[in-house]
Amino acid sequence: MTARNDGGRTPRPEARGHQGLWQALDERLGLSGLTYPVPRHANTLAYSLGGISVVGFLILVFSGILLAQYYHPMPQFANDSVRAMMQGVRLERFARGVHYWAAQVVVVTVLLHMLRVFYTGSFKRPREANWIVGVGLLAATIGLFFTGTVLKWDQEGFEALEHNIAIGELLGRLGYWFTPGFTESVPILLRLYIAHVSILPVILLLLLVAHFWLIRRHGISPVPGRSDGELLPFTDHLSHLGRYALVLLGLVLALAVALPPGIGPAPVEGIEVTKPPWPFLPLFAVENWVGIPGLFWVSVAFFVVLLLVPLVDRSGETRPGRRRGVIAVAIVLLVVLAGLGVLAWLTPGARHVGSVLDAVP
Amino acid sequence: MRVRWQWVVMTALVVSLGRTGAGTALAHKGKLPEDALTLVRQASALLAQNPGMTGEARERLELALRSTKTQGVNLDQVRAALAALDRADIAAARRLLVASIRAAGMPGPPAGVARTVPPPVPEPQGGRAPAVPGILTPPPPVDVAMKMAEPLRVGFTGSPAEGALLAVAFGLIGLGLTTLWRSRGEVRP
Repeated sequence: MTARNDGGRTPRPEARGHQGLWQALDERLGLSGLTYPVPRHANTLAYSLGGISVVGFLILVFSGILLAQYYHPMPQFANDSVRAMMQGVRLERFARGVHYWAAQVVVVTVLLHMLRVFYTGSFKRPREANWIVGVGLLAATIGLFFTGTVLKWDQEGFEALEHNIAIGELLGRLGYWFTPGFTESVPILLRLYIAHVSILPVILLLLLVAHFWLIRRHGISPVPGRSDGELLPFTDHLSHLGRYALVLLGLVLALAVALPPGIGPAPVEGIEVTKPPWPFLPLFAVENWVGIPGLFWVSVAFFVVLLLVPLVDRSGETRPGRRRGVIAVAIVLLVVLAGLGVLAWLTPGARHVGSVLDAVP
Repeated sequence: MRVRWQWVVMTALVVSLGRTGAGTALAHKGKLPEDALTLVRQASALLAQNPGMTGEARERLELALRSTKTQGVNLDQVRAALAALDRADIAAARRLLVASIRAAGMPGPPAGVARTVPPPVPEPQGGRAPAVPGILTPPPPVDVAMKMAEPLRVGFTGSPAEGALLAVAFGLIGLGLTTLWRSRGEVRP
C-alpha cells in the first residue's frame, strides 16, 4: 500500500520527475486520499461494470452537450433539426451516433451490473441502502433513455410520448406533470427536453454521489465465499478502469461510424405503428394484452420487486449455490422478461393509446 | 404462528396492483378520423413506417373515398394508390398518396397536444421587436414537410474522415485490450 495522506504537513524529501510531480500535486490536492485499499477482484470485468457505466455516462454528457448546440426542442422543428444534424456537418452526425450507441451500452452495462450485484449477494447487509440507491439509478437511466427516445420526435418518439401522456392521465393528479395540461405555454416536448438535460442528470448525479459514498463507507463487496486477500490502492483500480474505458470508447466510436442511427418520419397523430426501443419491448407485449394500465403497473411491479430484494433475501449467505431458491426465481423472471421481449418483437404493432378523436361523439 | 412482515407487504401490494389495474385494463382501438386528408396522411405515414401494415392503410383509404370531407385530396390518385396496394406495390402506393395530398401537403409535426404551441404574439406597434427567436417561425414549407414524412437512414459511406475515425476507434480498442492483457496479473485474486 502507498502512504496515507498527511495533509501535506510532513516535510518530504526532494523528489524528481514523475514522483516529484505526484508529490507536488498531492501536497496541494490531497490525491493520496484516493489510494485507500480495495480488493484485487475489484479489477475484474464483473466488478468493474458499475465503473464502466459511469464512463458511459461521461461519454453521454460530452456528446449530449455537443448535440444540444444543434437540437431544437420545439415540436415544429425537432425532427428537422435532427435531420439537419444527420445531413450537415459530420461532427454533429458523429456526436449523435456516439450518444445513441453510448446510451445502448450504458443500459446494458447498468443491467449487467445489477445482475452481478444480485448474483454475488452484494446487496446484503450492510449494503441494502446502496442497492436501493442503485434501483434509483436504474430508474433514472431508463428515464433518460425514454426521454431521449421522445426527443428525436419521429413517429416512434411521438408514440412514446403518447404513452407518457396516457400514463400521466391514468394517474390523475399524481401524473399531472406528465400531461400537456400542466402548462399551456410550454410544449410537453420542451419540458421532456428539460427533464432529459437537467432534471434527470441532476437526480442521477446526486444518486451517484450517494452510491459512491456508500461504496466507500462499506468497501467493495467480497467475492462470495472468499476473503479479500491482497489489497491494491484505489488508484490502481482507477487505472484499470481507464483501460476498460478505452475499449468502451473505441467500441462506441466504431459503432457510431459504422452503424449511425437513422430517424423515422415526422410524426402523424392518430396512428400507432412503431414498437418501442428494446429495453421497453417486454412492456409492449404486456400492453398488447392489458392496455395502458398494464404497462404502468408492470413497470411499478418491476421496480417494487427490485426494491424488495434485500428484504426478501435477508440471510447472511452470499454464495449463489446456497441461495438456489432466490436465484431460481430471478432466472424465471428474466426468462419471462426475455420471452415477452421476443414475443413483442415478433408481433405486429397495435393501437393502444386513444387519440383526441376518441373524445368526438 | 409468526408472520414475516415482508410477505404481508408483498401480498398487500400484489392485491392492490391487481385491483387497481383490472378495471380499465382493456386495450382499445381509437376511432378513425372523418376527413379524407387526415386519413390519407395517416395511411401514408403507416406505409412509410411499416410497409407491412397494408390492412390499416387500406382501411383508411377506403374510408377516405367514402368521406364527405374530401377537401385537399385528389381522390382519383387515392383510388390508384389502392390499386397499387392490391398489386402489393407499396412504393407506388406511397408515391400516389403523397401526390394525392400534395396541394395540402403533409402537416408539420404535431405540437404534442392541442394548446401546447405558444400563441402568436401580436406585431409590436413600434418600439422593440419580440426577442424570442425561433418560436414565432412558421411551420415548415410543404416541400420540407413532405421530405420529413420519409424516414432518413444514413450509413457508413467509406469517406476518408470516416475511415480515420474508424481507425482511431480500433486503435483505442486495441490499446485498451493490450493494456488489459498486460495487466491481467492485477486482476487475479
